[in-house]
Amino acid sequence: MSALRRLAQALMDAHGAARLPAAAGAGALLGPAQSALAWCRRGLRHLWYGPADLPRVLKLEWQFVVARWLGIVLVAPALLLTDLPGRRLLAAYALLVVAALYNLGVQLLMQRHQALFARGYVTMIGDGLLVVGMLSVGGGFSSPFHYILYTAVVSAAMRYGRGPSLAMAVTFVTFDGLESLGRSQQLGATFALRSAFLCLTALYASYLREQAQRAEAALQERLRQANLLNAATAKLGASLEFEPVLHAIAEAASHLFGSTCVVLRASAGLGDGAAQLPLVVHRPDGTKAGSDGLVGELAVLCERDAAAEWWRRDGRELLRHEVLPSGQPALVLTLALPTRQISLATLAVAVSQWPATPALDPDMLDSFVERITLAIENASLYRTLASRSHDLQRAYADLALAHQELLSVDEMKTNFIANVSHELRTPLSSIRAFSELLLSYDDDPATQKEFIGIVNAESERLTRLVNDVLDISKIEAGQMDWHMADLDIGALVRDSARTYTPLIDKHQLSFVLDIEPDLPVVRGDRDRLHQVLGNLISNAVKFTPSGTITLRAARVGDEVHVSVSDTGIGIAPQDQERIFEKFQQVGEMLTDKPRGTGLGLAICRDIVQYHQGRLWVESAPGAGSTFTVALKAGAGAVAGEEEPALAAPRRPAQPEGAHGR
Amino acid sequence: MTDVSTPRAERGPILLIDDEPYILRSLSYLLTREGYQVETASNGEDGLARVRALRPPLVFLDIMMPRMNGYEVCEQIRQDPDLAGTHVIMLSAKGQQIDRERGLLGGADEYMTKPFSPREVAERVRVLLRGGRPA
Repeated sequence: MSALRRLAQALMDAHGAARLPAAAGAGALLGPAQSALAWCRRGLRHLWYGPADLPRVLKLEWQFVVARWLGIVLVAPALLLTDLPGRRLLAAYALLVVAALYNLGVQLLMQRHQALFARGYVTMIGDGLLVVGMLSVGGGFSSPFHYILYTAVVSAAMRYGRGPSLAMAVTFVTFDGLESLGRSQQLGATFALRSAFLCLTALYASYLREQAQRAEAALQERLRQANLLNAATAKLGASLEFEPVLHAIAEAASHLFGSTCVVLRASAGLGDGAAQLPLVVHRPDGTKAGSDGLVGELAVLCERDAAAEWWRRDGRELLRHEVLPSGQPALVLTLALPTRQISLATLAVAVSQWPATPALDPDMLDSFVERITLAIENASLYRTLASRSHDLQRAYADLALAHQELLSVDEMKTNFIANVSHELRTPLSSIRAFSELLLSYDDDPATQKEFIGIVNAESERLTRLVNDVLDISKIEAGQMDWHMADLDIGALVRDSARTYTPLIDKHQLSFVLDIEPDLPVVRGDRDRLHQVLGNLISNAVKFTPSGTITLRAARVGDEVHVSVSDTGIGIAPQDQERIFEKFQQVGEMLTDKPRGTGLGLAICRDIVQYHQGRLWVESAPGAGSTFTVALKAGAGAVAGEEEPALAAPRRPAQPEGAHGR
Repeated sequence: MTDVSTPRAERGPILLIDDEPYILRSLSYLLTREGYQVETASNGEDGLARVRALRPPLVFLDIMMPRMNGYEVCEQIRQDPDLAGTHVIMLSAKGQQIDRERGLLGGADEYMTKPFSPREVAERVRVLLRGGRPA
């Protein structure tokens, strides 16, 4: 019994920590009772299940040890109640001592010789010997000791199942029968009943054991599947981006079905852009995608299934078995939201055996489908959101740009007005100053005439300026009336030459006219092109102190080039583009002519651009300048109004706000 | 205006700097008739050189001129201690308030816009030269 004492001592040690705080509970009457109850409960549980560090395979053995102690403790006094003769009683107690030693031996040795006891054979043989001993001491199978047989049979059933348990029962029945026959007794109804109960007990105990084992196996399988599902879908939440999610799904399916190749096709119905998504291929063995026909076969399966749209009719059919042309079995899984009539994706999974899903419970499969459906939906929503956000950002950027453009147009307008006002003030200053001087001072007629001449010239300049400003604002506002017609460009150039010959002669410059014969027809506005040539010729005169002005017209490719060259002062390279800007005048005036308006070349360029032509200058300081107008050759080469509109009468310019302060 | 009571030439000539020949012509006629001695320059650089050479009591200064603009000329005049007694009248076609402020902050004594009235110009010149250098 020292073992029991040691056990109790160990229990007290183990729970000592729990007891102490309870005992220290300040004056609570219920405290000690409750803690004592809890201590008892824990003690009993510990007694029955064994120490915490007991290996799992020995749990059952431990319980047998406890049951044996219980039996020994109960049998010891019970023996006194029997009417066994003295010698037999002594033998029974001796056997009980042997049983106790045996049990103690088992208890002490089983942890050290785990392998020996784990299988249970040792104790089964030991128990069988004890039982036979009990029976022989107790008076045979018909004695009250008979009941110990049931214990042995049940323990065999619990350890080894139906076969050994039944074998043991049959052995006992055989011994029973032999013993009875040996005593020359007839095998009566009692024997039959005894034997039947023993066999039934063996059967029923092993049935219960099988049930328990099956339940545990089912639990283990659920656990395995749940773990598999969790492991397979663990990566699903790692990303919200569409393609990584699709890859994660293919990988999860491969993991779950143990497949060597998974092909996933996202449905076109997932929103814009989904149609361009490539097939997602997952091969856990690392084979290159598309390196064999398997991927192609699975892809075909995907396409076919997506086209069938079976889910619209029956949303419950999740998984179907197919056989690929190559003979390999495959699974097709379509993800859809039948209630919303949306198809999400189709998965084709190559498997090694068919059917491939015995390992998965239907509700596990449902759970898998639910998870990947959710992942796709989330990714799709996220993508929609991201695209909206991107659209919004772009719209905002466009708006900002438009705003900026408006501001800059506004600024250009303001600058233009400021420039116009500045340019108007200059001739106005002369007009006002000289007229007032004429009024204030009496002077000789020559001076008076000079002043009146200046006033007159400056009013002319002012008029031209106003006309130019009107022209340029009309062209730029698209309100100019254009009279487009098919023009004989040679005649037009000759016409300009005739008009400006007197001016050139007056400045004693020589004039060369070089017009190629048979020039093609050019489509344009006669008056406006005339204006351009006139402007270029008078500029040439203005900046050429002596030498030659040359007017040329020639065909170059599919264009007609009209150029005005001079031998004048030329234009510095940095100024060659600036002269086409509004109100930009460069260099110093050579003649005593009044200044230009600073708008002439800007108007010329606007007019030429309306004709879809080009205007440029080639020049070097001191080497003269050549201005060239390139116009497209051919009738109708330039789109324009066919019908000559009536020119609006040009209103006499009366700029307001141009008065000085 | 026509009455010329005292000779005003003893303090040196008035310098006109402008690239518009007609402005130079009208102002020099006016000021000559008012009894002043007048010199002219037709660009900023030239004008500044003339200011340094002549040390005129008064300079008429246009703003938009080739080579050096009026603001720069005025700045140079104000930085030169030798020219401390020189009055500057800016006369410009730039008529916006911001141009006027820039001119006055840059050290001009007066800012007049074109078109101008010769009578008013003569009056300003008279006041400016009689009162000496304003604060």
